[in-house]
Amino acid sequence: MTEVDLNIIEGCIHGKRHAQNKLFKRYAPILLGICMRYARNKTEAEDILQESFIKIYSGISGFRGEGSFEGWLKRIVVNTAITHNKQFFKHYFHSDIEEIDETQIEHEEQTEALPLVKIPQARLMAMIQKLPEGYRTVFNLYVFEQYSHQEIADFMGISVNTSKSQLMKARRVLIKQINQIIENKDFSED
Amino acid sequence: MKTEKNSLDELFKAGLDKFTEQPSRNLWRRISWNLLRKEIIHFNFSNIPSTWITIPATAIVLISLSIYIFNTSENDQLPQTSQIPETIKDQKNLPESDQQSYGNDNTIAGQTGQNDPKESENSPEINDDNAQSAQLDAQHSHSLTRQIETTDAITGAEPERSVSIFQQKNELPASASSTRDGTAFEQPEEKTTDTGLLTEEHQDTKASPVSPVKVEEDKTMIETTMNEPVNLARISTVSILPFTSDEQRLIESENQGLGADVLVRSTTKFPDAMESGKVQSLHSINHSINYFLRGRYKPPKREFQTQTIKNQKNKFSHITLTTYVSPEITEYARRASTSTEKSFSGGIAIGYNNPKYLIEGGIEFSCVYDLGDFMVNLKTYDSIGFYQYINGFTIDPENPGNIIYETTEIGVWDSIPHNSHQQTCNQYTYLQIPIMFGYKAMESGNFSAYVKAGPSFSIMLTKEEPALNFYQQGASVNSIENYSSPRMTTNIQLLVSLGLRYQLTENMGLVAEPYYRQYLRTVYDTTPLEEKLKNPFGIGVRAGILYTF
Repeated sequence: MTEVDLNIIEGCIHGKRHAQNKLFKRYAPILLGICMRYARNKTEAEDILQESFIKIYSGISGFRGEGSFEGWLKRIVVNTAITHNKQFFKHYFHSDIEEIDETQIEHEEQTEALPLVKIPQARLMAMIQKLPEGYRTVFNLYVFEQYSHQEIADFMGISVNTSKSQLMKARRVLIKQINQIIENKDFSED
Repeated sequence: MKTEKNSLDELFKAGLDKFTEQPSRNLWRRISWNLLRKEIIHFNFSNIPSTWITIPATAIVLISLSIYIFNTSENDQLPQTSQIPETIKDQKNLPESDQQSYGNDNTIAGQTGQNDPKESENSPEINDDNAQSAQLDAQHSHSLTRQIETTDAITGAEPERSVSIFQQKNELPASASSTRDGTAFEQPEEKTTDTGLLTEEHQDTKASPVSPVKVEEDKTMIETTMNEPVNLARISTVSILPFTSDEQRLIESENQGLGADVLVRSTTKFPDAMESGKVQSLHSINHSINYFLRGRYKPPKREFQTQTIKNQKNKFSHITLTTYVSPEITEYARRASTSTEKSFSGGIAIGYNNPKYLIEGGIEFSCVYDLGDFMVNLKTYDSIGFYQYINGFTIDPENPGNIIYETTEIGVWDSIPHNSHQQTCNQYTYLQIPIMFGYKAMESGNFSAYVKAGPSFSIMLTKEEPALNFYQQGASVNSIENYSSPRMTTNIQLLVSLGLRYQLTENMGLVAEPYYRQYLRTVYDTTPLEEKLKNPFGIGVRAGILYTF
C-alpha cells in the first residue's frame, strides 16, 4: 500500500470530503468495471458503485491494513452487487433445482477448447450483461472471483447443484454467442 | 477455491479481468450528496458546503438590517407626518400666553437669523468655520448684548425691524464684517441649516400671526454675562439644539465647561412625539461623533412605539406572505412494524386576512423518511446439543458389578434456519399544497393567534428505497422477503394548527405554528388482500417570517 493510499484512507476515516473524492477518482474506474459485470447496463452498474462507495466510506475505519486495500474494495463491491441482484434471484433459481443432471454438469466442466480469437472487451461485457441474473452472478463468482460451487452456494444461499446448473447454462449461452461471432467473423466493437 | 480450468472461462477472464470504465460525471455528485445527507442526519456538519452557511447567514443579517431600518424609519417618520402639522396648527390657536412661550423660541431664532439682507445674501449657512468669526464677534459682544436690552421689540413677521439688533455689527471693521458675514448671520429660511431641524417651524412662525415679542421677554430666556465676551457662534448653535430636558442639560453643562458666554434655556413645549423625532434627528452622525470624542456620547433612546407599530392593517383586509420551515414527526403503521419517523418541510404561503378570518394557500416541499421492512430467511451453523462419546470403560475394582465409562462430551452442530427482521431507511420527497382556513382567536398588541384548519394535498416527487444489504458472518441467506408496501404517489391530509404571529414592524413579523396532521388515508398502496393499515398522523411546528403587504 502506497503512502498516498494511507493518506487517503486516513482522510476518509476522518470523513474528509476531499479524501473521499480522491479515493473515488483513484478506484472508481476499476470498481465500475467490476460492477459492469454484475449489472445489466452502466446505469445499474453506477447505482451499485454508488451504494458500494457509501459502504466503503462508512466502513473504512474497519479496514485493518492487513491485506490489499484494492482487494478489500473489490470484495465490498462484489458483495454489494450480489445483494443488489438478490432481489431477482428467486425468480431464476426455482425452476433449476429439478433440472439438474449431474453427468451433464461434469461434461460441461470439460468443454472443448475454443479457437484462439480476440473478441473486444465491449463485446465480452455485453455478452455477460445479457445473461439472466442468476447465470451472470454465478458465472462472475466462479470465473472472476474464483469461488467454488460450495462457496457460491453458501454465499448466495442456494444449493451446490443449483450453482453448477446456473454456470452450465451461462456457459452454453456464451459459447453460442461466441460461435456466432466466429462464424460471422464479426470482431468489431459493437 | 476451485481449480478447474475452462477455455471459455479463460477467454472471459483474460478479456475482462482488468476491465475499467470511467464513471459518468454526476456520479460523484450523487455520492457526495448521499454522504452529506447521512452526515446531516447524524448531526455531522463538517462537510456542509460553505455556501450553505453563508447564504442563510447573509439572509439573517439582511433580514435583521431590514427590521432595524423599518423600526428606525417608522420612529423618524411617524411623528413628522401625522402629528407635527396638528401641533403647529394647534399652536396657532393657543392663547397668547402659550404663544409667547412658543414664540420666544422662534424669536431667538429670528434674532439670530434676522440679518441685514445684504449680508445675508453672502451667508447661506452656518458651519463649523464660524469659530474664526466668533472670535471677532466676541470682541464686540458687550455692545451686542446691550443692544439687545435696548431694542424695543422684535417681530418674527418683520425682519426689517429685527435687523436693528445686529446693526451694531455693521460698525465692525470691514475685515471682521466680511468674515462674520459668512458665519453668524443668514436668511431666516436658511438659518437652520446647521441642524436642518427648525426650518419648517420657523417658516410657520413667520407666517403665523405671532405678536412682536418684547425684549424683556427675551431677557427671560437669554442671560448674558456682561463682563465676559459673547460667543455668537455658540448662540447660533445652541439656541436650536435643546428640545428635551436631557439634551438641554447636556448642552448647558457643555457650555459651562467650555466657558460659553450665553446660556440658553429653551422653554419650547413641543409634543413628545415631535421631540422623539427631533431627538433622533439631532443624534446625527456629526453630533454623535462630537459627543463621542468628548466622552459624552449618549445613544438616542429608541422607544418601541407599540401603538404606532401595531399593525393598523390588521384592522383591514390585507395580504400576507409567509416563508417557513417545519420539522415534523409522523407515526407510521406498516405491515410488519410501526415507528415514528421524522420529516422536514419548507415552503411559502400567501394568505388573505380580514379582521377576523384568513384564507391561506401555499406550496411546500417536504423530505420524508420511512422504514422498509424485510424478512430474511437464513441458515446458521449452530450447536443443537451434545452427546457423550464413550472412549472406554473399566470395571470398578471395589465393586466388580459396576462398569466405569470414560466419556467425552461431543457437541452436535447443524444448519439452523432463522428468520430475521431487517429494516432499511427510505426517503421520499413530496410537493405539498396546503389550504388553510383560520379564525383570529385573539390579538394583544403586536401578538395575534389564529386557529387554522384545512386540507393538504401531496404529490410524491422522488423516492429512494434501497434494497436490503444483509450479510452475517457464518450464515447463508435463503431468501429475503420484502414486507414494505409501496407508497402512494398522492395523498390528502387534514391539518389543524395554532398560528401565532408577532408583528415586528408594520410589515414584518414572526410566525410559529404548531400543527397536527392526520392522513385521511394510508400512505401505502395496499392491495385488497392485505390488512387495512392505520392511517399515519404527525405533529410539527412551522417557524418562519411573515410579510404583510
